[in-house]
Amino acid sequence: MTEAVRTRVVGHGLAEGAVLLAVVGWWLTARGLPSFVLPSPPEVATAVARFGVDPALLYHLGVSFARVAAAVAIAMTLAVGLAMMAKSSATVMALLEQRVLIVLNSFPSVGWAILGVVWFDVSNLTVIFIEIAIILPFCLTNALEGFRNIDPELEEMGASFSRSRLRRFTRVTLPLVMPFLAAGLRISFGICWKIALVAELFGAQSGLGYLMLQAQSTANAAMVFACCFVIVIVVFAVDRLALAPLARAYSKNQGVAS
Amino acid sequence: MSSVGTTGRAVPAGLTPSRGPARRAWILHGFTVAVLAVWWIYSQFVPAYQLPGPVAVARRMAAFVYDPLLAMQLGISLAHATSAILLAFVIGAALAFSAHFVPATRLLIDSRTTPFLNAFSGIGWLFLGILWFGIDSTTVVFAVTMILIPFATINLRAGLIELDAELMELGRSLTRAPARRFAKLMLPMLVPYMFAALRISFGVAWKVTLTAELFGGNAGVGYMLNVARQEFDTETIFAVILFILLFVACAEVFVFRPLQRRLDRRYGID
Repeated sequence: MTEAVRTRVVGHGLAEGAVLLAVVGWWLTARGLPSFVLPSPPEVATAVARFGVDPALLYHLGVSFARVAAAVAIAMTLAVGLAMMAKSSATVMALLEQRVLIVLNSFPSVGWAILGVVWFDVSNLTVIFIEIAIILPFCLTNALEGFRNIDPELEEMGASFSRSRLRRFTRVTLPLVMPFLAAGLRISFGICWKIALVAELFGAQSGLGYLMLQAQSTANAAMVFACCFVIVIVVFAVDRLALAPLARAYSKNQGVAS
Repeated sequence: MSSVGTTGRAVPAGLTPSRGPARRAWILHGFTVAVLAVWWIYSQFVPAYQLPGPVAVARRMAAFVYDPLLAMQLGISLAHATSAILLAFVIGAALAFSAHFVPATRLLIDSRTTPFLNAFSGIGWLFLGILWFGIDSTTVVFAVTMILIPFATINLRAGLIELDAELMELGRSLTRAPARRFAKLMLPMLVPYMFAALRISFGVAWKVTLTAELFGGNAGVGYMLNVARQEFDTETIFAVILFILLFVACAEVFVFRPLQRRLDRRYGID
């Protein structure tokens, strides 16, 4: 027991110590370098704090957030729809797996970004289209896996309780696939912020991606850092406050726990 | 977090093989032909810079095959992607193993380093790379490596956590040399997870390498895409994308899936 306690204390010390050490090391390195190469922690902290007060920055953050949320919602709905079709027909399943998914999985994200702008010009819908195209394979893989893992006997049981399809879907099917959908949501939400933000470099005049591109081209390294940290904070916050609880609520032990 | 691994899983064929796989194959090929036909018909009605027809794109692809330029650029991109995958694998494995063997670092790695890297924007790494290293291959490899590290760590950590404690105990009763146990027991048991890490890394690497080359590289397929984009040369854009699709899809179908099937059989994963 004492061994475990000691490991935990040392572990916490090491974890917080290393974070502190990283910040101090960063600060010391930044003192010898111009701020367009490596801005110091206070500069970056100030830039991050500006996101809380400056309405223009808040607007960019909000726009990015709205686009990501819309893209994730639409992509997930689409994926669930396709997966349901695949469940009732082996041909659709084969089509999805051997044609659609292969193409979507290997399509370079920047290809969607370029084509999106060529096809639809610069607009909010273009950005959302590009983001959907990038995260759809992740949603679809998880949705297919979820529907494949449904125990047919449980569905049969559901059929013996109710004839309403909607009722059966919301009461039996959805809770059964929810762990997979929640995992898909977490992955695609993260990917959307990390990679699909490339959409805003080409197809937008607003959003964090646009802000980062502006900052990079004016060698405003503090702003680039600040955007990165704001993204880390947003991804962390949404994952902890919304997606992880969702995943937990529908985890397989749900029945045992409550 | 281990759910990231699901994206790299092999997918079993359709559930009802009895209803004529031959007929299904026809439908699949018919679907491909239908897509090409729709593409061709639609391309007749829109300007070529928006959607070039399949024939024009095929002709451009054929021209590229005889042109050593594209082969070279593709080789450069492949080198970028491969070195980033290997670097990320080594660094990710180092993080995962240190979390496993040195319990004191577990909290630091599992709940500080990995989540931070996992949440850090890929575009951010790219722009930081440009600020630090300028526009060249270092930036590309740096950005892609940083994006891939969490995938390697998460998969290997999942493997290390799932290690069968009883088998490890058996190993301890057979030999006292830790290096021997590591090489003969632990590494073989981790193979499926290493494979999953490499497979996911390969897929993600191709998606982001082009982005990195487009903004921060002075060579490679992504750089070519940027030039074509500025010249509104949509045929080249399509040709490049199709080459990438072919390359990645072939790697997936002919290398990764057969390997995954063999691994699944060997390790009894259902």
